[in-house]
Amino acid sequence: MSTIAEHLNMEFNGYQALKDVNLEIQKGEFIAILGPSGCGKTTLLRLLAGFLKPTAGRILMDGMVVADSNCMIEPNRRNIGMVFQSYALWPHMTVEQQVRFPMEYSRFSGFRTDRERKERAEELLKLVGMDGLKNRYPSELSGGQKQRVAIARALANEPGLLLMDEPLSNLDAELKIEMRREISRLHKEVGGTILYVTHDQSEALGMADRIVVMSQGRIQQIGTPREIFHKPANAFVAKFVGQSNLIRGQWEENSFICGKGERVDGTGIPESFHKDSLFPVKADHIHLVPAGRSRFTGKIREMEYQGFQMKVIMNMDDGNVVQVLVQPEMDCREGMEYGIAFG
Amino acid sequence: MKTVTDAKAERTDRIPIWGILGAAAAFMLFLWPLLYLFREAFIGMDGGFSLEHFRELAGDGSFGKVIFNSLLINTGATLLSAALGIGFAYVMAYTDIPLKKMIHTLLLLPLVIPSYIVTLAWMQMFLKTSIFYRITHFELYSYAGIILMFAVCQYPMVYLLCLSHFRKIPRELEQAADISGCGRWKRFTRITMPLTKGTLANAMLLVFLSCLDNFGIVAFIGIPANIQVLSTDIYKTIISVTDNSFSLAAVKAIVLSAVALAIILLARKISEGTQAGGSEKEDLMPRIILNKWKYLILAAMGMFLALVNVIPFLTLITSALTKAKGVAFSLETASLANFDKVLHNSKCLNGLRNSIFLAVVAALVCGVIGVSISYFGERKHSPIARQMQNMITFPYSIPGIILGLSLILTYARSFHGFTIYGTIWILLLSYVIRFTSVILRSSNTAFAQLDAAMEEAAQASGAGTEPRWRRVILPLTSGPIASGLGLVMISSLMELTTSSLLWSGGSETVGVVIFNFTSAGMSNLASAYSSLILLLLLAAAGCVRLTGVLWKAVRKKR
Repeated sequence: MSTIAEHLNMEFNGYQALKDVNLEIQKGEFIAILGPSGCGKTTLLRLLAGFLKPTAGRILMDGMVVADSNCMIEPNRRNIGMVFQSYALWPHMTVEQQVRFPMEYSRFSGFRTDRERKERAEELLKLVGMDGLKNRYPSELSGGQKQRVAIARALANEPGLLLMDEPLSNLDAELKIEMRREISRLHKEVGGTILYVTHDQSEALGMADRIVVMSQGRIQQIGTPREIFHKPANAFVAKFVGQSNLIRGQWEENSFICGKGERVDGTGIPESFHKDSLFPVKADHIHLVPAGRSRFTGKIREMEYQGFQMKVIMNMDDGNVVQVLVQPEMDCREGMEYGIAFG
Repeated sequence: MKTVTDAKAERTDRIPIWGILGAAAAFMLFLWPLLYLFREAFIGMDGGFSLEHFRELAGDGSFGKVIFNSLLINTGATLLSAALGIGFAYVMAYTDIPLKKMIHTLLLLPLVIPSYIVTLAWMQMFLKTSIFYRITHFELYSYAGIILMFAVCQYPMVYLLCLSHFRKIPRELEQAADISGCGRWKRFTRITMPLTKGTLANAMLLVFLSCLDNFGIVAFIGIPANIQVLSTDIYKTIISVTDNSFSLAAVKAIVLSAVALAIILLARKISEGTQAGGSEKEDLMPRIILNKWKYLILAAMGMFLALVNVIPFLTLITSALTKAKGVAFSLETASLANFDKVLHNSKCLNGLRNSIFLAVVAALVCGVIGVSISYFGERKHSPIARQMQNMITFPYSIPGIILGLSLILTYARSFHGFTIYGTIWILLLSYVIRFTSVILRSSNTAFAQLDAAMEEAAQASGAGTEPRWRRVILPLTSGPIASGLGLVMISSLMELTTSSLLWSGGSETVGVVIFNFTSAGMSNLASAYSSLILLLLLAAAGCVRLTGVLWKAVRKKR
């Protein structure tokens, strides 16, 4: 199922949570919506699910309008599945009952007979590795197991669009990595369209076909993980996803000038950086050189030993603060003077 | 391209229309009668605006005495209930006293036994011929008697609220006081009590209001002792049926509401600024190990419970088994004649049938109204539903006698030859008005505890409204809602205040029948009937327990 959001706006009591959001999700795509908390990503998800009605704009699913500012089709009449942040497993139902529930009530369910439903439930529970635990209640499951049940339930009807609302945020670090692989595997095996909301950039970069970066209710950039990471469209994306340094200076055509006249080639850097007089550069794309060999100089403020490499934070003479990754054996002490070379 | 209308979309803008209609209905049902009563107080004999009833009342010195009586008795009763309640709560929450479960159940007994039956039982216990009277010479028909009866019926409220509060006080707070050098008493007065102030003020407010509301106790004891309080005085004014009796009663009702309001404001002032600061979870481990005191305290509590919650009812039963009033009970004089009479009395049977009917129907109606308004208010955050919640909660704090009077005034006239006054429906109406807020409160708690994602998950799974409620919402809120329904049923069965005003031949309730027997001096019949009611309550409680046990067993098996 393809899903299109056109000029979506959402306002809560005078607070504009979404501003003119346009998005097209192709069938079979895995899309991650990435942004800090309060950026509107959950609002967008809830609009697509049908728990909220947009104040302006409209949503189309398979060419049919499912919501605009006047009317909307309720979530139970949309061909969706959803995994909640809190899992939202019903405490009074067993694992099997949870998974069968959508097959019993959804109008999009293709599983009509008791036998089909039973088989489908078994197949799904096997798929998520929960086949031995179908008679357990949620209170008898661990966090990871609950997550698997929630995913199985959301997949039960082979929904046209699977919405996932920060599904890994309640798991511990190790389980997170494991479930991330699991979800990617499910997407490959089962297919289907996934919209995945997260604030964790490594989840988005590692799993999604395309990433939608959001901030303050607006879409900042849409692109593949590589595009987002290496070619950020603006300062926010560079900082939030690329963890780039944003160096303040002057633009002259396609050259960027910082420090006491250090000139850097800035071909291909988007216009928005020119406007903000900023230059994005990642910590491993610059290095420390003796002070005389660069016009962009400063003193070491602090160092952070990270094993394979060392992160050095520099207070530049022109007021910029820059992070540089260097070899751990390099001679660095607080207060030492260095220059920065680009490329 | 298909459009939304083709797809039978939900038109979201139709909800306010239903909301406004509902709010209007709630206003007419819950608030209009009270406003009507207010108006009545200001209408003179000539039909225009006048303060003549107020002037008449101001000139009536006896009414001052009535207010004084009410304040004196209710204050005394509130203090005594608070002392009893907090004492029991402390022992039960803090110490390792044995038989806790049994003591707890016995302590709560007065919550499920109508206060008029309790009073009737004590009246039998303190008959002039009884052994208790001969030992103590305690005159039940007095201020002290009324205060005692109020306290006996009301202390469980204080006990319950304080018990839960004590258990939520983090024990570290008290341990910190211990380490700072506080002894047990200092710790209680400096740490525990200040933390409990808000809860206690709230509990005392509830006790005071329900004393103000009570009719059974003051009617049974106060009227014979010629001690008038606000509710009995208003009752007498209404049934005197003089020209201006309703208007005069309305004025008195306004005074009574003013007293209630003043008390509410006072309690709010006291509990203002108190820190809640407790933990969410109740800590059930004992904090004080009693050692050698254990059995002494147990014995003292046992004595109290026997005296207050067991012996009166045994006396009630013996009195029921005694043929004539005042005859001492012995095996020779025992007879089932009273029971026989009661079982063949059409009024008694009718009363029972009416009470059960009213309890069940009131619970259902209150349930539907309360749960749905709670749902729209708490889940959908509908401002209209929030307003409706306020309207519904309001009559609960109004003494029942006022509600009864306002219903008479509003519904006594026939509407196109049709009237519910004089039928059982006006009783049902009054119960619905009084008790919807009980369910509203318990379902608000239920919805507050239920994660909204539970329902959304069902909706995202494709479930429409009906399966959503049947499979997810109701099963997950059934606990609090069922206890709310139970409370409404018990409250309806126990109701006497409005019933005493609104009943008519054929629509008498259990309380009214007992009231009438007692007023007519037929206390043996009243005792027999009350004993039967107690047995039925006991059987009902047993059934509920049994169902619970069976249900658990079935669930485990599945």
